[in-house]
Amino acid sequence: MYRYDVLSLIDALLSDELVICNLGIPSQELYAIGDKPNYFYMLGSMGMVSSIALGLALNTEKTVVALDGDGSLLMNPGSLVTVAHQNPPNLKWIVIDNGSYGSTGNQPTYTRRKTSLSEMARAAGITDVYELHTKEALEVTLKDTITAKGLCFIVVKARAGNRSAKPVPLDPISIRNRFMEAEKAVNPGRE
Amino acid sequence: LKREESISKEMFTALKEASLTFFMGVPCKYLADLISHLEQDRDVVYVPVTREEEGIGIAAGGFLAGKLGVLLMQNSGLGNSINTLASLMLFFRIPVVLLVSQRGLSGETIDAQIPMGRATEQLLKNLDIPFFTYSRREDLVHLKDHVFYARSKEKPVALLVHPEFWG
Repeated sequence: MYRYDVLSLIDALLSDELVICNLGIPSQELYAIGDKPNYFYMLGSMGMVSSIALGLALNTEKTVVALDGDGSLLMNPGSLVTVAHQNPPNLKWIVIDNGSYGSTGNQPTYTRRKTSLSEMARAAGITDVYELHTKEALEVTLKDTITAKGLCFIVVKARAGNRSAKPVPLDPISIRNRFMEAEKAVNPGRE
Repeated sequence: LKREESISKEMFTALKEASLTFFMGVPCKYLADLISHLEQDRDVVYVPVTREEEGIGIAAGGFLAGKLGVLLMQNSGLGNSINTLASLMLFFRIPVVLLVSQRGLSGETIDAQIPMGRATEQLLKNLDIPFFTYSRREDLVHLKDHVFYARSKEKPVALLVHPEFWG
């Protein structure tokens, strides 16, 4: 399984969840798989995907999916601690762990060696933690967790490698505005 | 100490009157009482963060659901937040109120605070983030306007709270 396969499966199994997607190739691949207004492509600020998703989850009724990467999470590991304690039931944190800085030439990250992100999440205090290696396991786990109540942290082990994709051809304000519309559409009664 | 408590309460009241209910923060001794007020208020969410940049990201997520966030920190935390302020908040036009305990000014007892103290305003200028100085309790009357500026311009603003503000 490559990142592209993981993203394709996630895209196929989601409906109207609010998705915050990591910058770089992950966003480019997700855009190519199936662009939607409820997908927020980060474009910059590496590491912040889970923090943005946390802030959103604390302020929306909708389910929020963070699509993170190993290199990105290692840049903001404190987020594990904050998310564990805030414990929003509508946040699903998925980390595609391909042991690489994929957007910059697949240089190895430390998860390819000794570091386990799922163990880090457990040590931070997150209880519902998964580490998955196959498409089948991912499909079953996503079906079980996405619509269920409760914070979960899912590491999907993937092979390093990118699909050739073009930069996301949307300007940031459009990404922001249509995403905020999508968020509002499901919370019509909110201030 | 009494006076410090009451000025913190005044700041708290001013923030609430500006309809702010979503806060993130890393403590500073000057912000301690304000943080206590925030933590005890049932209408307010206060999220302690491990690093200031994380707080900027959380504020961005809150804004995507229509909530304006406030990040409490020392100016050292501004240094920890620069890239996210630039490539997330300014780039996507997402506002946040930075409530900054300005350290490293004259009278500072911790020498290591001085370089960031000297760099703070220039960093904000370089980022084109407006900043406003709070050095007396009377400055609080402008807080509503400064928050309105963040909302209407959809960009970060920094409230630089000098040590003498706290009395």
